[in-house]
Amino acid sequence: MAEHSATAEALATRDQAQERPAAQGGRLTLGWTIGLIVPAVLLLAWQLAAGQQWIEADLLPAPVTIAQTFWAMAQDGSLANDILVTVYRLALGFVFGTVAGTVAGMATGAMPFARRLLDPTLQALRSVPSLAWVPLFILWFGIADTSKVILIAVGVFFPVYLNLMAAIAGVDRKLIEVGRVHDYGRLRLMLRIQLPAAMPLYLTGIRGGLGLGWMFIASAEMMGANNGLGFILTNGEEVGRPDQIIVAILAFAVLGKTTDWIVARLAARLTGWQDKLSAESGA
Amino acid sequence: MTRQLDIAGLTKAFGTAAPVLGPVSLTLDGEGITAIIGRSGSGKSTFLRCLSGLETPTRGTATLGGKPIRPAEVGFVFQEPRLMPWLSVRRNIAFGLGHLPKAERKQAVEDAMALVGLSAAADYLPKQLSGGMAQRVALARALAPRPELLLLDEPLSALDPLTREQMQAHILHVAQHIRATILLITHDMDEALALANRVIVLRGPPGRIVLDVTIPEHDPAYAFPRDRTSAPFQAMRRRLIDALEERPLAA
Ligand SMILES: Nc1ncnc2c1ncn2[C@@H]1O[C@H](COP(=O)(O)OP(=O)(O)OP(=O)(O)O)[C@@H](O)[C@H]1O
Ligand SMILES: [Mg+2]
Repeated sequence: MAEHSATAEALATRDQAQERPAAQGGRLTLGWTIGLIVPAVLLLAWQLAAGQQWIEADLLPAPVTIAQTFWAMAQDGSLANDILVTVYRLALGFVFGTVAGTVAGMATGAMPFARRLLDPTLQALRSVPSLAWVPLFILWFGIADTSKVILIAVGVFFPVYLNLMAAIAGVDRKLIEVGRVHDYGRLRLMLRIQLPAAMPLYLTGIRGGLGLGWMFIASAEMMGANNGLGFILTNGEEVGRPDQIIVAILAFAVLGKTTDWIVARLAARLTGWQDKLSAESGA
Repeated sequence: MTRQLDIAGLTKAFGTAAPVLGPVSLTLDGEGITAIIGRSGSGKSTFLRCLSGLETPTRGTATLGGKPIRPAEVGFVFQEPRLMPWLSVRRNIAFGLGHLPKAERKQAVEDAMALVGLSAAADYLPKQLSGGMAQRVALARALAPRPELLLLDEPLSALDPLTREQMQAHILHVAQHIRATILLITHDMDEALALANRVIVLRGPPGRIVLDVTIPEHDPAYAFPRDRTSAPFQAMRRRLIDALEERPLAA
Protein backbone atom coordinates (compact mmCIF):
# COMPACT_ATOMS: atom_id res chain seq x y z
CA MET A 1 0.00 0.00 0.00
CA ALA A 2 2.72 2.42 1.05
CA GLU A 3 4.76 1.38 -1.93
CA HIS A 4 1.80 2.05 -4.16
CA SER A 5 1.28 5.61 -2.94
CA ALA A 6 5.01 6.25 -3.18
CA THR A 7 4.83 5.31 -6.84
CA ALA A 8 1.83 7.55 -7.36
CA GLU A 9 3.71 10.38 -5.73
CA ALA A 10 6.69 9.81 -7.96
CA LEU A 11 4.41 9.89 -10.97
CA ALA A 12 2.83 13.11 -9.79
CA THR A 13 6.25 14.69 -9.29
CA ARG A 14 7.18 13.57 -12.77
CA ASP A 15 4.02 15.14 -14.14
CA GLN A 16 4.93 18.41 -12.51
CA ALA A 17 8.40 18.16 -13.94
CA GLN A 18 6.90 17.66 -17.35
CA GLU A 19 4.69 20.69 -16.96
CA ARG A 20 7.58 22.95 -16.17
CA PRO A 21 8.93 23.45 -19.70
CA ALA A 22 5.46 24.46 -20.88
CA ALA A 23 5.18 27.03 -18.13
CA GLN A 24 8.60 28.33 -19.07
CA GLY A 25 7.46 28.59 -22.64
CA GLY A 26 4.66 30.90 -21.53
CA ARG A 27 7.07 33.04 -19.56
CA LEU A 28 9.52 33.27 -22.44
CA THR A 29 7.84 36.42 -23.73
CA LEU A 30 8.87 38.12 -20.49
CA GLY A 31 12.41 36.81 -20.90
CA TRP A 32 14.06 40.00 -22.02
CA THR A 33 12.36 42.16 -19.38
CA ILE A 34 13.85 39.90 -16.73
CA GLY A 35 17.23 40.78 -18.17
CA LEU A 36 16.57 44.43 -17.29
CA ILE A 37 16.37 43.81 -13.56
CA VAL A 38 20.11 43.54 -12.92
CA PRO A 39 21.07 46.71 -14.88
CA ALA A 40 18.24 48.63 -13.20
CA VAL A 41 19.39 47.62 -9.72
CA LEU A 42 23.01 48.41 -10.59
CA LEU A 43 22.00 51.78 -12.00
CA LEU A 44 20.07 52.60 -8.86
CA ALA A 45 22.96 51.59 -6.59
CA TRP A 46 25.36 53.57 -8.78
CA GLN A 47 23.25 56.71 -8.61
CA LEU A 48 22.93 56.26 -4.87
CA ALA A 49 26.68 55.78 -4.40
CA ALA A 50 27.45 58.80 -6.57
CA GLY A 51 24.95 60.93 -4.64
CA GLN A 52 26.76 59.99 -1.41
CA GLN A 53 30.10 60.95 -3.00
CA TRP A 54 31.35 57.37 -2.58
CA ILE A 55 32.58 57.42 -6.17
CA GLU A 56 34.83 60.11 -7.58
CA ALA A 57 32.80 61.99 -10.19
CA ASP A 58 35.93 62.76 -12.26
CA LEU A 59 36.38 59.04 -12.89
CA LEU A 60 32.82 57.75 -12.91
CA PRO A 61 30.07 60.34 -13.15
CA ALA A 62 26.58 59.62 -11.85
CA PRO A 63 23.99 58.17 -14.22
CA VAL A 64 22.07 61.41 -14.09
CA THR A 65 25.15 63.36 -15.24
CA ILE A 66 25.61 60.94 -18.09
CA ALA A 67 21.99 61.36 -19.07
CA GLN A 68 22.45 65.12 -19.06
CA THR A 69 25.55 64.84 -21.23
CA PHE A 70 23.66 62.58 -23.59
CA TRP A 71 20.85 65.08 -23.79
CA ALA A 72 23.23 67.94 -24.49
CA MET A 73 25.05 65.98 -27.22
CA ALA A 74 21.73 65.00 -28.72
CA GLN A 75 20.45 68.58 -28.60
CA ASP A 76 23.34 70.23 -30.41
CA GLY A 77 23.26 67.50 -33.08
CA SER A 78 26.87 66.43 -32.46
CA LEU A 79 25.91 62.92 -31.35
CA ALA A 80 23.71 62.32 -34.38
CA ASN A 81 26.47 63.63 -36.59
CA ASP A 82 29.13 61.37 -35.10
CA ILE A 83 26.79 58.39 -35.26
CA LEU A 84 26.08 59.08 -38.92
CA VAL A 85 29.78 59.35 -39.73
CA THR A 86 30.53 56.07 -37.97
CA VAL A 87 27.58 54.23 -39.50
CA TYR A 88 28.53 55.53 -42.94
CA ARG A 89 32.10 54.22 -42.64
CA LEU A 90 30.87 50.92 -41.27
CA ALA A 91 28.27 50.51 -44.01
CA LEU A 92 30.80 51.15 -46.78
CA GLY A 93 33.36 48.80 -45.27
CA PHE A 94 30.67 46.21 -44.63
CA VAL A 95 29.49 46.27 -48.23
CA PHE A 96 33.01 46.00 -49.67
CA GLY A 97 34.02 43.29 -47.23
CA THR A 98 30.87 41.28 -47.86
CA VAL A 99 31.16 41.52 -51.63
CA ALA A 100 34.83 40.51 -51.59
CA GLY A 101 34.18 37.71 -49.10
CA THR A 102 31.28 36.44 -51.19
CA VAL A 103 33.25 36.35 -54.42
CA ALA A 104 36.26 34.71 -52.79
CA GLY A 105 34.08 32.26 -50.85
CA MET A 106 32.13 31.25 -53.93
CA ALA A 107 35.24 30.74 -56.03
CA THR A 108 37.19 28.75 -53.45
CA GLY A 109 34.11 26.82 -52.34
CA ALA A 110 33.17 25.67 -55.82
CA MET A 111 36.64 25.19 -57.31
CA PRO A 112 39.15 23.06 -55.39
CA PHE A 113 41.91 24.50 -57.56
CA ALA A 114 41.06 28.07 -56.51
CA ARG A 115 40.94 26.91 -52.91
CA ARG A 116 44.40 25.37 -53.05
CA LEU A 117 45.69 28.47 -54.78
CA LEU A 118 44.21 31.20 -52.57
CA ASP A 119 43.25 29.80 -49.21
CA PRO A 120 46.77 29.46 -47.69
CA THR A 121 47.51 33.13 -48.42
CA LEU A 122 44.20 34.34 -47.07
CA GLN A 123 44.56 32.20 -43.96
CA ALA A 124 47.99 33.73 -43.33
CA LEU A 125 46.57 37.25 -43.69
CA ARG A 126 43.78 36.35 -41.32
CA SER A 127 46.28 35.70 -38.54
CA VAL A 128 47.41 39.34 -38.61
CA PRO A 129 45.85 41.17 -35.63
CA SER A 130 43.47 43.81 -36.88
CA LEU A 131 45.21 46.73 -35.19
CA ALA A 132 48.48 45.82 -36.89
CA TRP A 133 47.00 46.99 -40.18
CA VAL A 134 46.09 50.45 -38.93
CA PRO A 135 49.48 52.21 -39.22
CA LEU A 136 50.06 50.72 -42.65
CA PHE A 137 46.64 51.72 -43.95
CA ILE A 138 47.02 55.25 -42.57
CA LEU A 139 50.41 55.47 -44.26
CA TRP A 140 48.98 54.27 -47.55
CA PHE A 141 45.57 55.86 -47.62
CA GLY A 142 45.91 58.75 -45.20
CA ILE A 143 43.86 59.51 -42.15
CA ALA A 144 40.69 60.15 -44.15
CA ASP A 145 37.82 57.69 -44.51
CA THR A 146 39.52 55.38 -47.01
CA SER A 147 41.86 53.76 -44.52
CA LYS A 148 39.03 53.16 -42.06
CA VAL A 149 36.68 51.73 -44.67
CA ILE A 150 39.38 49.35 -45.85
CA LEU A 151 40.17 48.23 -42.32
CA ILE A 152 36.50 47.46 -41.71
CA ALA A 153 36.26 45.66 -45.04
CA VAL A 154 39.19 43.47 -43.98
CA GLY A 155 37.42 42.66 -40.75
CA VAL A 156 34.14 41.79 -42.46
CA PHE A 157 35.84 39.83 -45.23
CA PHE A 158 37.17 36.87 -43.26
CA PRO A 159 34.06 35.54 -41.52
CA VAL A 160 32.07 35.93 -44.73
CA TYR A 161 34.75 34.26 -46.82
CA LEU A 162 35.43 31.38 -44.45
CA ASN A 163 31.79 30.53 -43.81
CA LEU A 164 30.75 30.73 -47.43
CA MET A 165 33.70 28.64 -48.60
CA ALA A 166 32.97 25.94 -46.04
CA ALA A 167 29.25 26.02 -46.81
CA ILE A 168 29.63 25.73 -50.57
CA ALA A 169 32.32 23.09 -50.40
CA GLY A 170 30.09 21.16 -48.01
CA VAL A 171 26.88 21.15 -50.05
CA ASP A 172 25.49 17.62 -50.18
CA ARG A 173 26.71 15.83 -53.30
CA LYS A 174 23.31 14.21 -53.53
CA LEU A 175 21.65 17.57 -54.16
CA ILE A 176 24.28 18.48 -56.75
CA GLU A 177 23.45 15.25 -58.57
CA VAL A 178 19.82 16.34 -58.80
CA GLY A 179 21.05 19.41 -60.67
CA ARG A 180 23.24 17.27 -62.89
CA VAL A 181 20.41 14.94 -63.93
CA HIS A 182 18.49 18.07 -64.88
CA ASP A 183 21.39 19.18 -67.05
CA TYR A 184 22.40 22.14 -64.89
CA GLY A 185 25.60 23.91 -65.84
CA ARG A 186 28.11 25.39 -63.38
CA LEU A 187 26.33 28.72 -63.03
CA ARG A 188 22.88 27.25 -62.46
CA LEU A 189 24.29 24.73 -59.99
CA MET A 190 25.76 27.67 -58.09
CA LEU A 191 22.67 29.87 -58.21
CA ARG A 192 19.98 27.26 -57.71
CA ILE A 193 21.62 24.69 -55.44
CA GLN A 194 24.94 25.68 -53.91
CA LEU A 195 24.14 29.24 -52.84
CA PRO A 196 20.70 28.52 -51.37
CA ALA A 197 22.06 25.49 -49.54
CA ALA A 198 24.94 27.58 -48.22
CA MET A 199 22.65 30.40 -47.10
CA PRO A 200 22.41 29.57 -43.37
CA LEU A 201 26.16 29.39 -42.87
CA TYR A 202 26.71 32.38 -45.17
CA LEU A 203 24.39 34.50 -43.06
CA THR A 204 26.20 33.35 -39.94
CA GLY A 205 29.37 34.64 -41.58
CA ILE A 206 27.76 37.96 -42.43
CA ARG A 207 26.56 38.34 -38.87
CA GLY A 208 30.01 37.58 -37.54
CA GLY A 209 31.52 39.99 -40.05
CA LEU A 210 29.22 42.77 -38.94
CA GLY A 211 30.25 42.19 -35.33
CA LEU A 212 33.93 42.39 -36.28
CA GLY A 213 33.18 45.49 -38.35
CA TRP A 214 31.94 47.28 -35.22
CA MET A 215 35.09 46.33 -33.33
CA PHE A 216 37.30 47.45 -36.16
CA ILE A 217 35.63 50.80 -36.58
CA ALA A 218 36.13 51.60 -32.94
CA SER A 219 39.85 50.84 -33.32
CA ALA A 220 40.12 52.76 -36.57
CA GLU A 221 38.45 55.88 -35.26
CA MET A 222 40.41 55.81 -32.04
CA MET A 223 43.72 55.72 -33.88
CA GLY A 224 43.13 58.68 -36.10
CA ALA A 225 39.92 60.57 -36.73
CA ASN A 226 38.38 63.91 -35.96
CA ASN A 227 34.81 62.72 -35.88
CA GLY A 228 32.80 59.56 -35.28
CA LEU A 229 31.98 57.64 -32.12
CA GLY A 230 35.54 56.35 -31.77
CA PHE A 231 36.79 59.92 -31.83
CA ILE A 232 34.41 60.82 -28.95
CA LEU A 233 36.11 58.06 -26.95
CA THR A 234 39.68 59.33 -27.40
CA ASN A 235 38.57 62.94 -27.16
CA GLY A 236 36.78 62.19 -23.90
CA GLU A 237 40.00 60.75 -22.54
CA GLU A 238 42.03 63.79 -23.59
CA VAL A 239 39.66 66.35 -22.14
CA GLY A 240 38.83 64.26 -19.07
CA ARG A 241 35.13 63.71 -19.78
CA PRO A 242 34.21 60.18 -18.66
CA ASP A 243 30.51 60.99 -19.18
CA GLN A 244 31.22 61.62 -22.86
CA ILE A 245 33.11 58.31 -23.11
CA ILE A 246 30.25 56.42 -21.52
CA VAL A 247 27.71 57.99 -23.87
CA ALA A 248 29.80 56.82 -26.85
CA ILE A 249 30.15 53.34 -25.36
CA LEU A 250 26.40 53.11 -24.92
CA ALA A 251 25.86 54.32 -28.48
CA PHE A 252 28.19 51.58 -29.74
CA ALA A 253 26.28 49.00 -27.71
CA VAL A 254 22.87 50.10 -28.94
CA LEU A 255 23.93 50.39 -32.58
CA GLY A 256 25.81 47.07 -32.56
CA LYS A 257 22.92 45.23 -31.00
CA THR A 258 20.38 46.83 -33.34
CA THR A 259 22.25 46.03 -36.54
CA ASP A 260 22.89 42.49 -35.31
CA TRP A 261 19.21 42.08 -34.56
CA ILE A 262 18.28 43.26 -38.06
CA VAL A 263 20.64 40.76 -39.69
CA ALA A 264 19.43 37.99 -37.38
CA ARG A 265 15.80 38.70 -38.28
CA LEU A 266 16.66 38.71 -41.96
CA ALA A 267 18.54 35.44 -41.55
CA ALA A 268 15.64 33.81 -39.73
CA ARG A 269 13.33 34.84 -42.52
CA LEU A 270 15.63 33.59 -45.28
CA THR A 271 16.38 30.24 -43.67
CA GLY A 272 12.98 29.34 -42.27
CA TRP A 273 13.00 26.26 -44.50
CA GLN A 274 15.54 24.57 -42.27
CA ASP A 275 14.19 21.53 -40.44
CA LYS A 276 15.41 22.51 -37.01
CA LEU A 277 14.03 22.10 -33.53
CA SER A 278 13.68 25.83 -32.94
CA ALA A 279 13.41 28.40 -35.68
CA GLU A 280 14.87 31.23 -33.60
CA SER A 281 18.46 30.79 -32.58
CA GLY A 282 20.88 33.24 -31.11
CA ALA A 283 19.58 36.83 -31.43
CA MET B 1 5.46 6.08 -79.67
CA THR B 2 8.65 6.29 -77.67
CA ARG B 3 11.87 5.61 -79.45
CA GLN B 4 13.90 2.47 -78.96
CA LEU B 5 16.53 2.35 -76.22
CA ASP B 6 19.61 0.43 -77.30
CA ILE B 7 22.28 -0.52 -74.84
CA ALA B 8 25.32 -2.21 -76.34
CA GLY B 9 28.23 -3.67 -74.39
CA LEU B 10 27.85 -1.19 -71.54
CA THR B 11 30.71 -1.62 -69.06
CA LYS B 12 31.76 0.42 -66.05
CA ALA B 13 34.91 0.22 -63.99
CA PHE B 14 35.77 2.79 -61.33
CA GLY B 15 39.36 3.88 -61.79
CA THR B 16 41.67 0.97 -62.36
CA ALA B 17 39.57 -1.47 -60.30
CA ALA B 18 37.83 -4.47 -61.86
CA PRO B 19 34.59 -3.62 -63.66
CA VAL B 20 31.49 -3.53 -61.47
CA LEU B 21 29.12 -3.66 -64.42
CA GLY B 22 28.86 -5.35 -67.76
CA PRO B 23 29.12 -5.89 -70.48
CA VAL B 24 25.35 -5.35 -70.62
CA SER B 25 23.43 -5.33 -73.87
CA LEU B 26 19.72 -4.69 -73.95
CA THR B 27 17.03 -3.31 -76.19
CA LEU B 28 13.91 -1.71 -74.77
CA ASP B 29 11.11 -0.95 -77.14
CA GLY B 30 8.03 0.96 -76.17
CA GLU B 31 6.32 2.13 -73.05
CA GLY B 32 5.69 0.43 -69.74
CA ILE B 33 7.84 -0.62 -66.83
CA THR B 34 10.89 -2.82 -67.06
CA ALA B 35 12.05 -3.92 -63.63
CA ILE B 36 15.67 -4.70 -62.84
CA ILE B 37 16.32 -6.80 -59.79
CA GLY B 38 19.56 -7.99 -58.33
CA ARG B 39 21.35 -8.36 -55.06
CA SER B 40 23.02 -5.48 -53.32
CA GLY B 41 26.26 -4.58 -55.08
CA SER B 42 25.30 -6.22 -58.35
CA GLY B 43 25.68 -2.92 -60.18
CA LYS B 44 22.05 -1.85 -60.57
CA SER B 45 22.59 1.76 -59.54
CA THR B 46 25.76 1.97 -61.58
CA PHE B 47 23.78 0.81 -64.60
CA LEU B 48 21.12 3.52 -64.22
CA ARG B 49 23.71 6.17 -63.45
CA CYS B 50 25.51 5.31 -66.68
CA LEU B 51 22.25 5.78 -68.59
CA SER B 52 21.50 9.11 -66.91
CA GLY B 53 24.91 10.61 -67.55
CA LEU B 54 25.84 10.75 -63.86
CA GLU B 55 28.60 8.23 -64.64
CA THR B 56 30.51 7.85 -67.88
CA PRO B 57 30.60 4.24 -69.07
CA THR B 58 34.07 2.77 -69.49
CA ARG B 59 32.97 1.00 -72.66
CA GLY B 60 29.81 0.54 -74.66
CA THR B 61 27.01 2.82 -75.73
CA ALA B 62 23.44 3.69 -74.86
CA THR B 63 21.29 5.34 -77.49
CA LEU B 64 17.72 6.51 -77.79
CA GLY B 65 16.36 6.26 -81.33
CA GLY B 66 19.92 5.73 -82.53
CA LYS B 67 21.27 8.93 -80.95
CA PRO B 68 23.20 9.36 -77.70
CA ILE B 69 20.87 9.96 -74.76
CA ARG B 70 20.56 13.63 -73.85
CA PRO B 71 20.01 14.61 -70.19
CA ALA B 72 16.82 16.47 -71.15
CA GLU B 73 15.33 13.15 -72.27
CA VAL B 74 15.90 11.47 -68.91
CA GLY B 75 13.98 11.64 -65.64
CA PHE B 76 15.66 10.22 -62.53
CA VAL B 77 14.28 9.31 -59.11
CA PHE B 78 16.78 8.39 -56.42
CA GLN B 79 16.36 6.14 -53.44
CA GLU B 80 15.93 9.26 -51.28
CA PRO B 81 13.69 12.17 -52.31
CA ARG B 82 16.60 14.65 -52.53
CA LEU B 83 14.27 17.65 -52.53
CA MET B 84 15.65 21.16 -52.21
CA PRO B 85 14.64 21.95 -48.62
CA TRP B 86 14.28 25.68 -49.32
CA LEU B 87 11.77 25.22 -52.15
CA SER B 88 8.06 24.52 -51.87
CA VAL B 89 6.63 21.36 -53.39
CA ARG B 90 5.56 23.34 -56.45
CA ARG B 91 8.99 24.86 -56.98
CA ASN B 92 10.74 21.56 -56.40
CA ILE B 93 8.64 20.03 -59.14
CA ALA B 94 9.48 22.94 -61.43
CA PHE B 95 13.19 22.32 -60.83
CA GLY B 96 13.86 20.86 -64.28
CA LEU B 97 11.54 23.21 -66.16
CA GLY B 98 13.66 26.36 -66.29
CA HIS B 99 13.70 26.30 -70.10
CA LEU B 100 9.90 26.58 -70.44
CA PRO B 101 7.88 29.81 -70.68
CA LYS B 102 6.08 30.62 -67.45
CA ALA B 103 2.58 29.53 -68.43
CA GLU B 104 3.77 26.20 -69.80
CA ARG B 105 5.91 25.61 -66.77
CA LYS B 106 2.95 26.22 -64.50
CA GLN B 107 0.80 23.80 -66.49
CA ALA B 108 3.50 21.12 -66.45
CA VAL B 109 3.81 21.44 -62.68
CA GLU B 110 0.04 21.21 -62.19
CA ASP B 111 -0.15 18.15 -64.41
CA ALA B 112 2.68 16.39 -62.64
CA MET B 113 1.23 17.20 -59.21
CA ALA B 114 -2.17 15.89 -60.22
CA LEU B 115 -0.63 12.72 -61.61
CA VAL B 116 0.91 11.80 -58.26
CA GLY B 117 -2.00 13.17 -56.19
CA LEU B 118 -0.14 16.06 -54.58
CA SER B 119 -2.12 19.10 -55.68
CA ALA B 120 -3.26 19.84 -52.12
CA ALA B 121 0.33 20.01 -50.84
CA ALA B 122 1.62 22.41 -53.50
CA ASP B 123 2.82 25.05 -51.08
CA TYR B 124 4.31 22.81 -48.42
CA LEU B 125 7.99 22.87 -47.65
CA PRO B 126 9.84 19.53 -47.74
CA LYS B 127 10.13 19.53 -43.95
CA GLN B 128 6.33 19.32 -43.78
CA LEU B 129 6.07 16.17 -45.93
CA SER B 130 5.86 12.52 -44.95
CA GLY B 131 8.34 10.12 -46.51
CA GLY B 132 5.83 8.87 -49.06
CA MET B 133 4.76 12.38 -50.02
CA ALA B 134 8.36 13.50 -50.41
CA GLN B 135 9.07 10.59 -52.73
CA ARG B 136 5.97 11.45 -54.76
CA VAL B 137 7.32 15.00 -55.14
CA ALA B 138 10.56 13.50 -56.40
CA LEU B 139 8.58 11.40 -58.87
CA ALA B 140 6.62 14.44 -60.04
CA ARG B 141 9.86 16.43 -60.42
CA ALA B 142 11.23 13.71 -62.70
CA LEU B 143 7.97 13.48 -64.66
CA ALA B 144 7.33 17.19 -65.16
CA PRO B 145 9.77 17.70 -68.07
CA ARG B 146 8.07 14.75 -69.82
CA PRO B 147 11.14 12.54 -70.17
CA GLU B 148 11.24 9.78 -72.74
CA LEU B 149 13.23 7.64 -70.37
CA LEU B 150 12.28 7.47 -66.69
CA LEU B 151 14.87 5.89 -64.41
CA LEU B 152 13.80 4.89 -60.92
CA ASP B 153 16.57 3.70 -58.59
CA GLU B 154 14.85 1.84 -55.75
CA PRO B 155 12.48 4.75 -55.19
CA LEU B 156 10.42 2.83 -52.66
CA SER B 157 12.98 0.97 -50.60
CA ALA B 158 13.12 3.63 -47.88
CA LEU B 159 9.37 3.50 -47.28
CA ASP B 160 7.38 1.38 -44.86
CA PRO B 161 5.44 -1.57 -46.37
CA LEU B 162 2.02 0.12 -46.34
CA THR B 163 3.29 3.36 -47.90
CA ARG B 164 5.25 1.31 -50.38
CA GLU B 165 2.15 -0.45 -51.62
CA GLN B 166 0.41 2.89 -51.98
CA MET B 167 3.39 4.22 -53.93
CA GLN B 168 3.37 1.18 -56.20
CA ALA B 169 -0.18 2.10 -57.13
CA HIS B 170 1.00 5.65 -57.86
CA ILE B 171 3.82 4.43 -60.07
CA LEU B 172 1.49 2.11 -61.95
CA HIS B 173 -0.94 4.97 -62.44
CA VAL B 174 1.84 7.20 -63.73
CA ALA B 175 3.12 4.49 -66.07
CA GLN B 176 -0.31 4.15 -67.62
CA HIS B 177 -0.61 7.90 -68.20
CA ILE B 178 2.75 8.97 -69.60
CA ARG B 179 4.58 8.01 -72.74
CA ALA B 180 7.93 6.89 -71.47
CA THR B 181 10.19 3.92 -71.22
CA ILE B 182 10.47 3.26 -67.50
CA LEU B 183 13.31 1.38 -65.85
CA LEU B 184 12.59 0.48 -62.23
CA ILE B 185 15.27 -0.90 -59.97
CA THR B 186 14.08 -2.84 -56.99
CA HIS B 187 15.30 -5.63 -54.78
CA ASP B 188 11.72 -6.65 -54.11
CA MET B 189 10.61 -9.43 -56.46
CA ASP B 190 6.96 -8.91 -55.65
CA GLU B 191 7.24 -5.25 -56.52
CA ALA B 192 8.88 -6.11 -59.82
CA LEU B 193 6.16 -8.63 -60.65
CA ALA B 194 3.35 -6.34 -59.54
CA LEU B 195 4.41 -3.44 -61.77
CA ALA B 196 6.56 -4.55 -64.68
CA ASN B 197 5.86 -6.05 -68.05
CA ARG B 198 9.44 -7.19 -68.29
CA VAL B 199 11.82 -8.28 -65.53
CA ILE B 200 15.58 -8.39 -65.85
CA VAL B 201 17.79 -10.06 -63.29
CA LEU B 202 21.28 -8.65 -62.85
CA ARG B 203 24.00 -10.61 -61.11
CA GLY B 204 27.46 -9.45 -60.27
CA PRO B 205 29.84 -7.86 -59.81
CA PRO B 206 30.48 -7.34 -62.59
CA GLY B 207 26.75 -6.93 -63.13
CA ARG B 208 25.42 -8.95 -66.03
CA ILE B 209 21.99 -9.99 -67.19
CA VAL B 210 21.23 -13.55 -66.15
CA LEU B 211 17.51 -13.57 -66.82
CA ASP B 212 15.25 -11.48 -69.02
CA VAL B 213 11.56 -12.38 -68.95
CA THR B 214 8.66 -10.66 -70.61
CA ILE B 215 5.42 -10.88 -68.69
CA PRO B 216 2.67 -12.03 -71.06
CA GLU B 217 0.77 -8.76 -71.23
CA HIS B 218 -2.49 -10.18 -72.50
CA ASP B 219 -2.58 -13.11 -70.12
CA PRO B 220 -5.53 -12.39 -67.78
CA ALA B 221 -3.45 -13.82 -64.94
CA TYR B 222 -1.28 -10.67 -65.23
CA ALA B 223 -4.03 -8.08 -65.62
CA PHE B 224 -3.54 -5.03 -63.38
CA PRO B 225 -3.86 -4.89 -60.43
CA ARG B 226 -2.08 -8.22 -60.29
CA ASP B 227 -3.12 -10.94 -57.90
CA ARG B 228 0.06 -11.76 -56.05
CA THR B 229 -1.31 -15.08 -54.84
CA SER B 230 -2.14 -16.50 -58.27
CA ALA B 231 -0.28 -19.60 -59.44
CA PRO B 232 1.41 -17.97 -62.48
CA PHE B 233 2.60 -15.08 -60.30
CA GLN B 234 4.07 -17.49 -57.79
CA ALA B 235 5.69 -19.59 -60.52
CA MET B 236 7.28 -16.50 -62.04
CA ARG B 237 8.48 -15.49 -58.61
CA ARG B 238 10.17 -18.87 -58.27
CA ARG B 239 12.03 -18.32 -61.54
CA LEU B 240 13.34 -14.97 -60.35
CA ILE B 241 14.54 -16.44 -57.06
CA ASP B 242 16.36 -19.18 -58.94
CA ALA B 243 18.04 -16.61 -61.14
CA LEU B 244 19.16 -14.61 -58.13
CA GLU B 245 20.66 -17.69 -56.45
CA GLU B 246 24.42 -17.75 -56.30
CA ARG B 247 25.27 -20.33 -58.94
CA PRO B 248 28.04 -20.15 -61.51
CA LEU B 249 26.98 -17.90 -64.33
CA ALA B 250 28.13 -20.26 -67.05
CA ALA B 251 25.55 -22.91 -66.09
N1 LIG C 1 31.73 5.90 -57.11
C1 LIG C 1 32.17 4.64 -56.92
N2 LIG C 1 33.48 4.40 -56.81
C2 LIG C 1 33.93 3.14 -56.63
N3 LIG C 1 33.15 2.06 -56.58
C3 LIG C 1 31.82 2.23 -56.69
C4 LIG C 1 31.27 3.53 -56.87
N4 LIG C 1 29.92 3.40 -56.97
C5 LIG C 1 29.67 2.08 -56.85
N5 LIG C 1 30.80 1.36 -56.70
C6 LIG C 1 30.90 -0.09 -56.56
O1 LIG C 1 30.17 -0.68 -57.59
C7 LIG C 1 29.51 -1.86 -57.14
C8 LIG C 1 28.07 -1.82 -57.53
O2 LIG C 1 27.44 -0.75 -56.83
P1 LIG C 1 25.94 -0.33 -57.12
O3 LIG C 1 25.67 0.85 -56.26
O4 LIG C 1 25.76 -0.19 -58.57
O5 LIG C 1 25.16 -1.59 -56.58
P2 LIG C 1 23.59 -1.81 -56.43
O6 LIG C 1 23.24 -3.03 -57.19
O7 LIG C 1 22.87 -0.57 -56.76
O8 LIG C 1 23.47 -2.12 -54.88
P3 LIG C 1 22.31 -1.72 -53.85
O9 LIG C 1 21.18 -2.68 -54.07
O10 LIG C 1 22.95 -1.95 -52.51
O11 LIG C 1 21.95 -0.30 -54.11
C9 LIG C 1 29.75 -1.94 -55.63
O12 LIG C 1 30.73 -2.92 -55.39
C10 LIG C 1 30.27 -0.58 -55.27
O13 LIG C 1 31.23 -0.66 -54.25
MG1 LIG D 1 21.77 0.89 -55.64
